[in-house]
Amino acid sequence: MKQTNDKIKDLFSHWETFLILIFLLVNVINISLSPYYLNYNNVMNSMINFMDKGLMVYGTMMVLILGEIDISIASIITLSGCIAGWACEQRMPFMVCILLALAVGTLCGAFNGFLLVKFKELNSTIVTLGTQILFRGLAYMLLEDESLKSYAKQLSGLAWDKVLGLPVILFTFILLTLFFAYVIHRTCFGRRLYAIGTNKTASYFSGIYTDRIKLAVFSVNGLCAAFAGLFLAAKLASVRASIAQGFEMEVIAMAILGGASPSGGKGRVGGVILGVFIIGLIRYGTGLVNISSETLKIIIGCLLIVVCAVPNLRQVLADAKEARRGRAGLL
Amino acid sequence: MTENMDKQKIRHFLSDHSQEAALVLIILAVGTLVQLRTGGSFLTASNLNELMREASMLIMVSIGMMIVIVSGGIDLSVGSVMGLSGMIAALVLRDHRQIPIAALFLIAMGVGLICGTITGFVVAKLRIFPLIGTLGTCDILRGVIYLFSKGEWVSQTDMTENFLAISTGTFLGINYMVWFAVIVVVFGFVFMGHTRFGRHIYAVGNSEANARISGINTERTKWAAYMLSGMIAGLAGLLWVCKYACAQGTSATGFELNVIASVVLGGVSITGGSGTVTGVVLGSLLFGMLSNILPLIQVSSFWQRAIRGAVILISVIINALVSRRAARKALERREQNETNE
Repeated sequence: MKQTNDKIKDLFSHWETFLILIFLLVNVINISLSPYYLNYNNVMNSMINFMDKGLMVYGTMMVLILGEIDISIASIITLSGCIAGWACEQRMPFMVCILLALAVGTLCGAFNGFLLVKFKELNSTIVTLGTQILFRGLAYMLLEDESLKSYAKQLSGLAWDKVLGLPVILFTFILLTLFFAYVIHRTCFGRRLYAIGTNKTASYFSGIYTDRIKLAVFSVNGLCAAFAGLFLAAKLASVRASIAQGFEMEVIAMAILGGASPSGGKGRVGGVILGVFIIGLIRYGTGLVNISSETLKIIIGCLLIVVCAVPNLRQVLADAKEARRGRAGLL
Repeated sequence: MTENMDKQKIRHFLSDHSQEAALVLIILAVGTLVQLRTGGSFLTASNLNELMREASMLIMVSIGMMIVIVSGGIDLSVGSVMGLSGMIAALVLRDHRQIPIAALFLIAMGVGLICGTITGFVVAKLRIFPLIGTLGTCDILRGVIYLFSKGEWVSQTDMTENFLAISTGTFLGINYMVWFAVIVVVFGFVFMGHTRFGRHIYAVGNSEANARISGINTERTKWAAYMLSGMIAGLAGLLWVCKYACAQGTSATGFELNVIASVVLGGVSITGGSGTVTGVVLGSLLFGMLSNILPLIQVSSFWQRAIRGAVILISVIINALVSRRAARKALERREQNETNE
């Protein structure tokens, strides 16, 4: 009897349990709001809409586990998408366009990592804020106010084809999930990420190459963003320098809702998957009942703040109690 | 003897204020170069007036942002606060044309104060990582603008002559907007340098744990920093509407990035705890100059964003190198002193 009690307690101490509850709640609300919610085609189309953010979430998650943050990913998507479109316009072979886009994304990420490793005084807030502006600025320099379409025919398969009955993007997401679940939870590299996020100095002195890992994680993050950029470009069928604005907030919200924390050392892949689906389905549901994108901004912003606040709440309340007791003690 | 002392004083002054001195030199050099390059169209009265009107908003909001960054945070929501306060003030003006101008200022600053209070609550009380928390409030407030305006614009025809005069009228030959900036700068100078509360902000930014142990209410201090920043942004939002004679949902989008760029250009440490008002004023002047001269020397407007990003990165890197050098020099001096003894 006591054992089962403990088990239940254990279950509820996991963030993932709450996530499943939230996930069910979102679904129930959405189903009661709109009769079109549970339509297979609709669900699959909505996946195509929010999965491009899902593709980036593991890169962001690893950055968060390290205790850093990267808000330049939205600009990396734009830049790599624009590079792909531009390369197609120059009549380069199709594979070269794709590889070029991925390479540029990786380089952008590596540039972030390089600055952080080379200048330890800087923190990731200001570096990625600067590169966020810089990368989108490069996209503007490349395309000015043009929009490119010539690539669309070759790339459209990425957006609308199906593999095993699933949209390509969902299939890719599943593959990425398996890959990152293995890397983060089953390899030395993954354990080192958590170690660095928990205590950077201690990990350095216990022989972990913290710099090299940081550089690698930021590069992978850039690669993920470039990957998502290709899918986004395929879906939009035309690229310009103003696409993907504000994506970073939703991706970060997904990762943090999934249990990662900007203070580092936390988060599991299972939770992050739920985070992706919860935010994506909220977007899908509110789209069905015709809520404007501006109202949606408010909803997602509030959600982000609530999600970040919940893990802190226990500490905040404890401190308040402490302070009250301290004041009473003084009296 | 006295000559030697004087020399030493000057050297001390320069080494204490090397950043400010460098900024002044850069501003003068850039100004001269552009003046020569454009054949004199930079240093004309009308262009300088325009430059100062543009820069005055930047300077104001930068002072607010500096207070937040010195306290160890960052505020990405100022652009949205400016948009919201400007929009609400413009809507009030449209519906009640008889309202006194002073009341509009109170409304705009009040809206800014409320926004700042919310942001401060999110960051200081709920202890959310400042970057993420203010990224959230940035989007929320931007959405709130649309709730109020319902997607409409308030255009020049809805505004009164008196209101528009704020951005065009002059006092002692200098534009009103510049005077507002001067007031904010003087406030910032006194507040950050000469009040107990200002010094508390430096202490909290330097080391929150130490500040708490020495009896500073760190939570309240951080909260107040965001409130001040919000209030100043509210004031700037009203001036924005005046200057462009138009309030729309996208007003001042991305302005926070210019502000952060000028603050780091002014030598404020992004990790908090150091930075001077003089540096911030010079930094925002330099940044305002950059945006003013790029069209003059025929740089495409599509390049400006990349240049802005590069300016941020280069200036933080220079700051890092300067502080590294200062630390090494201090170490050398200490070692020398030890060997002398």
